[in-house]
Amino acid sequence: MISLAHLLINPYVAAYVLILVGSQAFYRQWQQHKRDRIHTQRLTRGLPSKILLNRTEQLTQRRRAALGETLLLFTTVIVAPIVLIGIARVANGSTEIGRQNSVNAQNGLGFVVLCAIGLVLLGGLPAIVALVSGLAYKIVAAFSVPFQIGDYVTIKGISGRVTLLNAFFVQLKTVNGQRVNVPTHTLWREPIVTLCAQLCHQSSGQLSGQLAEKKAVNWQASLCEMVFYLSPTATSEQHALAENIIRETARSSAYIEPSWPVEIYYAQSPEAIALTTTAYVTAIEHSAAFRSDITRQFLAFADRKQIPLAIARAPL
Amino acid sequence: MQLAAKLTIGWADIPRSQFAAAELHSRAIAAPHYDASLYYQLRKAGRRTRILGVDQLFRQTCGGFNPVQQLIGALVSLPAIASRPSPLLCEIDLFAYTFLVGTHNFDRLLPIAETNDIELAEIQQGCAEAIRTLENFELTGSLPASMSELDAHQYLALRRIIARPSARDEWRVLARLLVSGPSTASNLERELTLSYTFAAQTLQLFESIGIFTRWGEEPGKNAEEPLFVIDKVAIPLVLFCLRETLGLDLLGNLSALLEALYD
Repeated sequence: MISLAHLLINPYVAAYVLILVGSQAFYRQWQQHKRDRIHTQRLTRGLPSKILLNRTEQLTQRRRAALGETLLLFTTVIVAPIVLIGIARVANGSTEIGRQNSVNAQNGLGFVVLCAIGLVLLGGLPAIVALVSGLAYKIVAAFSVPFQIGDYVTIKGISGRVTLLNAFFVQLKTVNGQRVNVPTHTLWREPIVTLCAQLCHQSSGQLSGQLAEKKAVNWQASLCEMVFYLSPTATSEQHALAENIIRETARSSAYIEPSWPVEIYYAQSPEAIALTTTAYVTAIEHSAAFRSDITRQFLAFADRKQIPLAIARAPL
Repeated sequence: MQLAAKLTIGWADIPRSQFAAAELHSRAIAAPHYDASLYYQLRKAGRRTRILGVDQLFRQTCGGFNPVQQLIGALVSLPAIASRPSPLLCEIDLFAYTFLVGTHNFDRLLPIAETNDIELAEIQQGCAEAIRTLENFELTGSLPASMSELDAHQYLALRRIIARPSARDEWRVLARLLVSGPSTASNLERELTLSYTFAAQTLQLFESIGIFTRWGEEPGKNAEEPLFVIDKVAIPLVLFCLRETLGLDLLGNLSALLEALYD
């Protein structure tokens, strides 16, 4: 116990702990100050507090912040003890007592660093584990792009747009407006379905020519599927008319993402001929309005051209 | 006959030449044979003929693609006219073209003219630069050197209108004018199922903050149904706002298109 006290109670360990805590506190304060300054500047210019940018706000800033946090962590956790040991050696000189003090400082610092790492690795305080793990995920996410703020993703069965990603929580905004917070540190072991990535994958090969390979994915474009049911008695001309009107109305909607194709697939059953339409909307929030646009025009057209629609049978 | 697209930005004036696409098309429609009429009209033309305002034959509506498809399709199928430069240049608005390429693979009929490269790259870079300036302003509130107080004032005025989630119809109006070009309140009423009053008021609202301007109106003459276009200077503003609200990123689509073509 006495030797442990000797190890821990020395000015270098105290300085290390002070640097560790102080740097984090200073960094947070500085970040907050920066945010406040920008907020004031925006207000002075007549910009309200809510930033209009979705995606653009994103990467550059997040990467800069992640780099800053990584550098700070690396410097304080790894570099600071090495520097302090160096200082201890120089300051204590080469006398016997001095050497002993240097060794104490070295051991004390090593012990604190190992304790800190051990605490995290062996599942010390859940809050520390969550913080460190979440912080690490946040930093990794800024560069390896599993998803970004603004992406529409499915995590733990919950689908929504990512509105916030920090060391503690990933916040998702679902289509019906709910805000769901998923703890960031739990994401290391979670499969994450990113809609943007799905779009790239699903649509390559469907577009024609060289352009298909190169078409940029609108980051928030979202697949929208609709089914229109024609009566089995509809003629082939009526099928073609219906197909044409669906395609045209989809392309004329303000919500269509023009870089992706509108596709129509036929399926037949005794009750109906189903025309399944897939198109991409500029953002998932507009899916309902897009569907409504097309359905309204399709029904009006079918009515005008007397295209027979499928009628649900009364249950026997 | 080989054709090539000369992409233009902004809607400077109504093309009144006899080689305006709308004129050519309407005369050919009135003639007994569409293709023959086009061929005859083009044969009479001088050596430096180009077809103007092809975008005027297109609207983003149901069936709005048919006229431009009919004209360009017919021109492509015509035999080349001797002693005339080939390809025949067709002027078309940049954003209408980008939209048509995305939805209808229009570049198969009307590829971009090679001589258009530098100008196009300059336009694209200019828009991208203006958008970056806006992003910076929106993020930090600091006014970059390339942005005047007037620009900031105009942006704030537009932002006040479109930033609300309930401004869905205003977004659609902006998008419609960007893709379809000159529009009247009646066009918007019909195509976007808005009330006429609302459409007219929205057009005037955007006009009052300098985003829209009246198009093709002779000075002193009060047209009953004025046509509105997006002011050329305000195009980057509109592109930026549509990207951040509606999610429509036509500049991104254009960049992807150009990358694909020149790779």
